[in-house]
Amino acid sequence: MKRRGLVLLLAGWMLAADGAPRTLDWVELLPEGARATYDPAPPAPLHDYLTGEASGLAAQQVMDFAVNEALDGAEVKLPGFIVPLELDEAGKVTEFFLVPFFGACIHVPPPPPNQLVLVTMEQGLSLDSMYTAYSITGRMSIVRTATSLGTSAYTLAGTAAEEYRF
Amino acid sequence: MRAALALALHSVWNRRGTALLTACSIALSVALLWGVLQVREGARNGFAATVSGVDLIVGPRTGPLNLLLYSIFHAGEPTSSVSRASFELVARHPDVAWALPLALGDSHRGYRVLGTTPEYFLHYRYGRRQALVLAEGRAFAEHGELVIGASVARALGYRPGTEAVLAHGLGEGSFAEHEDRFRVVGVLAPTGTPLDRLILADLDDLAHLHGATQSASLTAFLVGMKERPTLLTMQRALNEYRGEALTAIIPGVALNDLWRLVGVADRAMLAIALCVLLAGLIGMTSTLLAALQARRRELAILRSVGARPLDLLGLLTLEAGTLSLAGALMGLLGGRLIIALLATPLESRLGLLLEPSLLDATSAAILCGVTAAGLLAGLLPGVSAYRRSLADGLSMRT
Repeated sequence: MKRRGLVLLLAGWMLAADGAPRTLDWVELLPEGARATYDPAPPAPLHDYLTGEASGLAAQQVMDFAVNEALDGAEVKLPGFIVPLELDEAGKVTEFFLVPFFGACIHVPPPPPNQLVLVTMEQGLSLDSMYTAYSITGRMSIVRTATSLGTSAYTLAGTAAEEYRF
Repeated sequence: MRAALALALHSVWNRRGTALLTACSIALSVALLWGVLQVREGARNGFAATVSGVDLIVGPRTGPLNLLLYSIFHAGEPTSSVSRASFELVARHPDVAWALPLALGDSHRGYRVLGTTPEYFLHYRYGRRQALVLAEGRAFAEHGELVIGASVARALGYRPGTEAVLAHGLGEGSFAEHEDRFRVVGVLAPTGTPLDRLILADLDDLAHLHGATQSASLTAFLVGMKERPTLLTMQRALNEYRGEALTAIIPGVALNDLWRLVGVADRAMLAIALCVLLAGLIGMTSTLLAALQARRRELAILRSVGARPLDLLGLLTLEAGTLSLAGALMGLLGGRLIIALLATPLESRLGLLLEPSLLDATSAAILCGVTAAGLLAGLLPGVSAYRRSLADGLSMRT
């Protein structure tokens, strides 16, 4: 019975997804149950990532990097900052991380895996400054990975990008 | 319409001297426009897309641009090195798919030698994730083997089997030459990137030259993660690593910064190309207008034998269209000829790889655009011929 409800919910979701892309908030990338304790600040490290050494108290913390399964296949619009990964011949960014806060690659610890979206964009995005926030529209997918940080990650096939105005 | 076209062709033929000059001036500006666009494409190909598919570049404590420049563009000098131990630590990490050591410092006749491992040929990507291709021979595998970039091969005339002596440091004829002889076993296909001017050898083989069995320090190393989302955490961990002062950068971020800096030149090239096009079109229109002045009597005679004003409009427009089509074709062919002749010096001296295809989208666009512009330019004298009276042409004094 419970499963049927879920199927109905999903069907309803897909119908809703048919229309205009839904504008997402970063907290919605967390599963329902984890949102109450959502803290936009980056989490404390579980252990030293490089050497794998557990470091005292931090090692006993449980870190939940679960994703919101309902977002798999959804058409969404998500605002964020861009960390360029691949550039095409014309200098346009074709693959990048969309992250909730600026400087996720340099100044501050990186966001947890469920606050990070890997975006591929065929047509590319001309990124003048990493200080500019963009709203990216496209289809979200959840990919299974096997890393020491978590087992799933968000990817987005970007179709449109617009500058985000605060 | 067919009669008009035949008349237009005959009319052009009748004035073939002037017509040839007009077509040549159009051809010149088309060739210039196409050439500028080709150079622009060659320059940007070898730039923004120099490295692809690499998740992190790790070097000693330095700035991101500096690290990118000396590890990928082989420009500038590293200030210090990275320990082999740090490299091994990263290479063995469970989330790391591959790690490529890079060691610079040796040279051969002015070309830099990069010490790495044969895996370099498997994992290094440029452009849109294009893998390296060996045009001749194979990757280095045994002691004393080298692989050379396309420009090196062309400039020095080296082929698989050629022997070379490596020198410590850079310079055409270095004084501290190593005694071991190296042999070329492979030549890379042209990439249009700084790789074309590089010589690759085995890292430990080079360490051997300096009297060590294994290279203890590296210039930098490249890292590929199994899953991209982990790269930010790895970058953070490396930058915070207590064991050694390291700098880990995301190539895309540094490349984007660098491109913003030098992309001005790219846009300047486009502006130059557009100016060339504009100048060419203005020249074409003025030539056609000047020609019309000399043809007032002829047009009036055509009118007197029954040509309607609309026929004259069509005639002049078609003539202009024919001329610009011929000019554009000549220009595109001439441009290709010039680039074919200049390709080798451009590549070896400027590092610009120009490989124009016989028919590309740019040429098609130029052809259509110039012909359309020619037809439009022909309208101007055409309309003025259309509006002139019969008497105007017949009563004129020459």
